[in-house]
Amino acid sequence: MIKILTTLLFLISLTACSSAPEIVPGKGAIYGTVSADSHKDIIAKASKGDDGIYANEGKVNFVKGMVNYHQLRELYVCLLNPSFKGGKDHLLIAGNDKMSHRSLAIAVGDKLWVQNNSSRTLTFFLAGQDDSIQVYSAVKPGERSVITVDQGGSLELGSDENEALITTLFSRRGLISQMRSSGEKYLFENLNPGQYEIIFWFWRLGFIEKNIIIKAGENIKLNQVLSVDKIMASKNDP
Amino acid sequence: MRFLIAAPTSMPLSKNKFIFYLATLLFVFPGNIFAHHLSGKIEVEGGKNLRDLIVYLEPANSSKLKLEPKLHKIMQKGRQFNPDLLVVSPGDKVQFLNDEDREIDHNIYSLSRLKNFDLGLGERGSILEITVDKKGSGNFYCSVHKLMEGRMISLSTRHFAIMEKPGNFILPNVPSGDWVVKVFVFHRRYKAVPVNITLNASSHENIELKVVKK
Repeated sequence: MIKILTTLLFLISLTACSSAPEIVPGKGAIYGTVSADSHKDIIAKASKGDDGIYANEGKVNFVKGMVNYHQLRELYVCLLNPSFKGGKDHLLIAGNDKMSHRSLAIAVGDKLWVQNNSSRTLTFFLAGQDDSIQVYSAVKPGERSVITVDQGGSLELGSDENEALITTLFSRRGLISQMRSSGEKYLFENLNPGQYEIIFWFWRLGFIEKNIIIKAGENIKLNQVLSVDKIMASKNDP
Repeated sequence: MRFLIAAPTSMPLSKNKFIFYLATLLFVFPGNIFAHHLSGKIEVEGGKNLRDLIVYLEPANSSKLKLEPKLHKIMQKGRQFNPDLLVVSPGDKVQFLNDEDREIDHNIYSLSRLKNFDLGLGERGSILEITVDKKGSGNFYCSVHKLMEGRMISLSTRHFAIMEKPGNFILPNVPSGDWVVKVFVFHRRYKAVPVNITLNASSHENIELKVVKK
């Protein structure tokens, strides 16, 4: 019996170790899980067991036409630090009726490539909130073009010729990002001690932003659920 | 199905319809037609067929502005916002009515620069309300349903028309004074060039508005 318990404890501790990053002397890390979920009022109604079309055994029953939060892709976890320099390459691929990504988180200074896999020449642009805009040179089918992003904020990549080709971009100075599906893990490791901001973003919902302090030899675990009510509540945080 | 706010002026007009409406207005308001009905045309650079252009007038002196608050209603039957494009003004109230014909819940929210709101659970028969505080534009969504989204534009004016495509427009019953004619363009590649006009008792403006690439 004792042997079984010891083995069990060993296995549990091994699982815990594997989910946390290794501690690196002089460095820190932040890690966790990012997921999305329905509004708390919808969940509460489903949990009451109402026979409404949204309830199934006390849980939200995602039927056709509904946003299935548990299967959302393109959840972004972004880490901000002014010392990060832009310059990372990103690639978006344009088809005949949609882009490869509906959303993308990037840094000011990053290079944004667009590959034209559609059947016509396309002129892409990156538009900011006001009158700011960057325009690509015309891209023939099978070719690609690039710009260096010089704007922050909520941006939109589109094309002159085809309005269906749209990608929403979240751009900040000093941003590095990881794209995850709902329920997946993220990890930023080997970070120098200091103050950072971490942002969890989904293009249709918005974002939650948190300040974190990374200390040498310390790993921070931070799980985050993105839902309308949680995002709204975070806007009211002091 | 688009519900147009300022019909018939909100509709893009063919040349014949344009002349018909203008003649009707002249007949109905013979005394002040030249002072009070502004007509014009919107042209887009490159001839692009931009959708949902909103042409509107703002007083050149915004301190003269005083608008009575209005109530707007947005229906949700068939998991669609109707209208899905709404023009409002600061101070207006917007009601969201769940008029679904079966038990379908909605959760309407917006995280736009115009207005942040989360209306919670919107069950069938519910009427939920917001008050618009400022000028600007933003999208609103239902968090439950994928394709439910709408757009709201808040302008400091009641003189506007929504045009499904570029072309002729008429803005009726415009008081005399100094105005700026503007066009709100959703397509982020384009912007409109505002035009200043003065309307007085004997004037009749037939203006041309340009929408150009940024």
